[in-house]
Amino acid sequence: MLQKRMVQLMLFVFLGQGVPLSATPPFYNRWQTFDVSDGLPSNKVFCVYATDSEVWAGTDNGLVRWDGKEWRTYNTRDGLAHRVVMAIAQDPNTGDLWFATLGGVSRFSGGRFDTFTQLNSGLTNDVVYGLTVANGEVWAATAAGASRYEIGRNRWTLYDETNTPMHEIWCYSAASCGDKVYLAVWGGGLLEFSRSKKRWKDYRDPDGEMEIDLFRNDGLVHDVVSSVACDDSGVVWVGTYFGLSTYDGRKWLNFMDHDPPVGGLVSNFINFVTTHDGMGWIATDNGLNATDRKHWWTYQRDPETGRGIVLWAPADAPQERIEIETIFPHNYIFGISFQGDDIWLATGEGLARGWRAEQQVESSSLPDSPRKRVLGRPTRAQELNDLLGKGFDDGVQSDD
Amino acid sequence: MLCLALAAYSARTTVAQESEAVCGPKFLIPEGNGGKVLILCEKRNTILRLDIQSGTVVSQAPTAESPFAACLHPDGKRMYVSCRRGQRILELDINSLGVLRSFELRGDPTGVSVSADGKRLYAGVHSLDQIAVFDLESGSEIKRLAAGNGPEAVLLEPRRGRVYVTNLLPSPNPPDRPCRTEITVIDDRTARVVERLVLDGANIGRGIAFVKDGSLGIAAISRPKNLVPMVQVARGWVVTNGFAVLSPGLDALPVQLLVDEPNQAYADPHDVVITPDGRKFYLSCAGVDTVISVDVGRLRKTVDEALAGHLPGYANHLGLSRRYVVARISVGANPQALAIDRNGQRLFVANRLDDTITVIDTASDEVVATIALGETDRGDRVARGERLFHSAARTFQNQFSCASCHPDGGFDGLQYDLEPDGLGENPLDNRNLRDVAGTGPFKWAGSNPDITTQCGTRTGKWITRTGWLNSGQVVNLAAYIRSIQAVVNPYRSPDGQLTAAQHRGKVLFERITLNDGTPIPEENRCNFCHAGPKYFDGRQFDVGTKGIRDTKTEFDTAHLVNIFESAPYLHDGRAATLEEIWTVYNPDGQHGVSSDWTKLQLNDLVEFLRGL
Repeated sequence: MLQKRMVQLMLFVFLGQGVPLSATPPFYNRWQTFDVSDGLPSNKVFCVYATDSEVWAGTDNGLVRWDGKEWRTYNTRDGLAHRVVMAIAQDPNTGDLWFATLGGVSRFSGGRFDTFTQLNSGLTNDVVYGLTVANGEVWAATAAGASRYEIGRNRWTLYDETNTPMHEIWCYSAASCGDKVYLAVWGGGLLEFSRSKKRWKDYRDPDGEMEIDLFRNDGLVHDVVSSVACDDSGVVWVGTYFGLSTYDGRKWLNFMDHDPPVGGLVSNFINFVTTHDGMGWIATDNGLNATDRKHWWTYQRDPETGRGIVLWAPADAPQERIEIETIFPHNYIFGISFQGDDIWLATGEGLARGWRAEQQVESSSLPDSPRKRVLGRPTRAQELNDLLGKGFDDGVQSDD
Repeated sequence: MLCLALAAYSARTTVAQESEAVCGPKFLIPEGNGGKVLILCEKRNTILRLDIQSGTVVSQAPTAESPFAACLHPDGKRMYVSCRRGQRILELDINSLGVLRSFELRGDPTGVSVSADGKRLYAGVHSLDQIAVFDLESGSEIKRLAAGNGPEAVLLEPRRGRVYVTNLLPSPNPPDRPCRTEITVIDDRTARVVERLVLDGANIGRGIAFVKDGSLGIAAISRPKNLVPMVQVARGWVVTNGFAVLSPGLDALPVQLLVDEPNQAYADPHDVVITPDGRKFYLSCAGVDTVISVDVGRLRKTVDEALAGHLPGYANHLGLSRRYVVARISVGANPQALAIDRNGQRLFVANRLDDTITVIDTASDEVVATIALGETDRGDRVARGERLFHSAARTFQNQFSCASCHPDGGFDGLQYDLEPDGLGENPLDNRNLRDVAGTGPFKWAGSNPDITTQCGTRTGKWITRTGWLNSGQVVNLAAYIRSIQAVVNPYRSPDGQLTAAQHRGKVLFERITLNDGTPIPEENRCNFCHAGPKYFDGRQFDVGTKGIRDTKTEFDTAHLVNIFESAPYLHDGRAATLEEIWTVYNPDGQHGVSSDWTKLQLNDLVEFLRGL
């Protein structure tokens, strides 16, 4: 039985065959952590953004840039608006990087920082949690509404409760999705702006309840929205502190950590959500999820052993578990970015890089570890409960 | 000077062309082996094809307003002309000079260059500090890149696939710090900015050129020492003039060198060309009607032999130019654009203010011909004043002209300390001269009632340190200054209508009550001081901006027309942006009552002001 399951899993992981999935996430079986000992200015890494050739990470003590060879840090002395960097976005057109900080917005262009604050520009507020750049516009999500900066026109427009249906003005995240711009509003749900129609629309939790979702899939799962992203098919992914919602323009699907299948959403407390190759990737306070909304994959660090646990929860089959030798340094994850075959995570204890299993990695910077996969036996429900503190009592099969 | 040149050399002056209007040659493109030259006539809004041998214009065609710069397409069939006031770039058939397409854009285009694959066009946009990128297949603008302050020349260096953009004005810096400008570097493959070469102590970046193998670039710059009192003019050391040496691929900072001599400056470096063999480059010095010939080999030797750590000091070394300058060639009035023929034998110089083209033999560095494009002496007051404005002849040791600190009739973004009110005291922001007519009195103290007074004896005494101009010349100079047009305002709607934000800003500008309904005292309303068509009242007020180096508390009310372009703001340039006038430097509400504004209101007001 066990052998059969492992074969199925291996097929899924390495061949992407045999499992009726709409998409298959890569399996990251080897991880490396970067922290202050490597040159990071702090282990509190709030965001990460990978380009083809570089990785940028924002911490509570400045920025750090990895060019594949060395780490270089940037702080206010270099022109960064503030040492605390909350989000990073790249202008797909110009390649310029934009940083959301707790002291304004900084643009990094050709080695030069330009800073926009509430004092020297039209930025609405210096406490900037998120931003998105597309179509020649920068949208900054701030603690006092949102600002839109039209780069070519050098023009700022401010959005708050006076000119939008922004129930609260505490904006946490922004995402560009074609013609639409979405704002994640803490306590105010999700706001949608149509660039062509210049109209706003708000999406709120229909039941307005804090701890429960009264009617399933009736709308946004919760008004405390922390993150928003969209995928290539136009599905909007909304992370809240009380679960995950997706919206395809017609239907909402909501996910909470106590929903079946077991091993689905690993925590309702979502810090960040993004999409990649048709999958949603969710950074929570208790690990990392990937999902196509039917099937779920979970990456967690075993705090006792420091080893990694990968859980696969098929829609109609028992959960599977794999142990891997290395994993990210902490389950509190703030950010996710992808770089070729690799995944980068911003965590509360450092920056992590994961390599997909198929990849033959050759790098002198890596620890001297072979491509070794430790495949653990499927774990009993109690073991999972002990490990994760969750109620994994449904559908988990014993291997005994 | 022109006559001297003609007498000294066996010049072949040709017949003046049909001079329907002044040309004001602004840009040159040699054709073929130099038998013909394309000339952009900035003042006539025309492009000319001049046959050098016969000295005749063989064809011409209209352009949009103020043609500024041009470049060829790699296919050799098309060319592109930026028209600064026309706010467009024209695609011309190179044979007929007919317009094939017209690309409109927001702002005033300056330098232009086509990508190596011929698919994209790069254009500097001075007023917005951007580089517009066009897709030449569709003719649409595809992106705006962040330039430095006031992008000027744009040049593709094809060997390394980089596009270099010089910037006219200084990068933002606190007023008590030395100025610096940047050369913006774009990767031609990705059309993204990849590097910014910072030139510390430099300003007024103009022309740029590279040797054929791309290993060496030269950019024209000035080096103003605006932090020392202007009394230093008399010691020969306030504005120095030279060039930056770029060494792509060597990971080395640009080296800055001067063309000045200890007792003779060469004001207003403008354009650079390098001979095809890379042995010489030429630099036009527009303020002294001179083209300077530099031996590249000697230049390299000077740099290579510098002792460790000495190169930065070379930027201010007045004694070095003798090592690499091999000729200083007198040409016509206000030489700006340069071009060299394909085989490198003849250099062409566009003398913008006497409508001539000087032809120089590069082997001998001697003038061989001066070709008139129109009337060389236009005689009117404005034209004569324009020559005075652009000439350093009456400045001590020719260090600078009016145009050195007011390039293109505008401003240089720097602050200066004139000593009549005490050395080190009252440093003042240099003011924009565009559209300045009717905005008197002048000076930040408002002590000069008109432009004639402003530009009269005091200029000779406190600024140029010479006998300066006679009264007739001052009148001419003032006439020219009054004629300087405002730049095209990219924040203004073409139809003159206010945007919704600008309309809201106007209401705020004219309000008489606070947000809570409390009446605002008349003298604290925006439009009390900033009144009338140019938004000023000619009086001085204490707006709470007296600084630690100021001896005065009241300052002239600035007019607000085209205020968008004249950052930094306030009398000493302390406010980097319009917003900072109120968010940082109006703590007691003396510069208008702003404490009750919401951020939305401030944004609206700034939008309104930018559109004035």
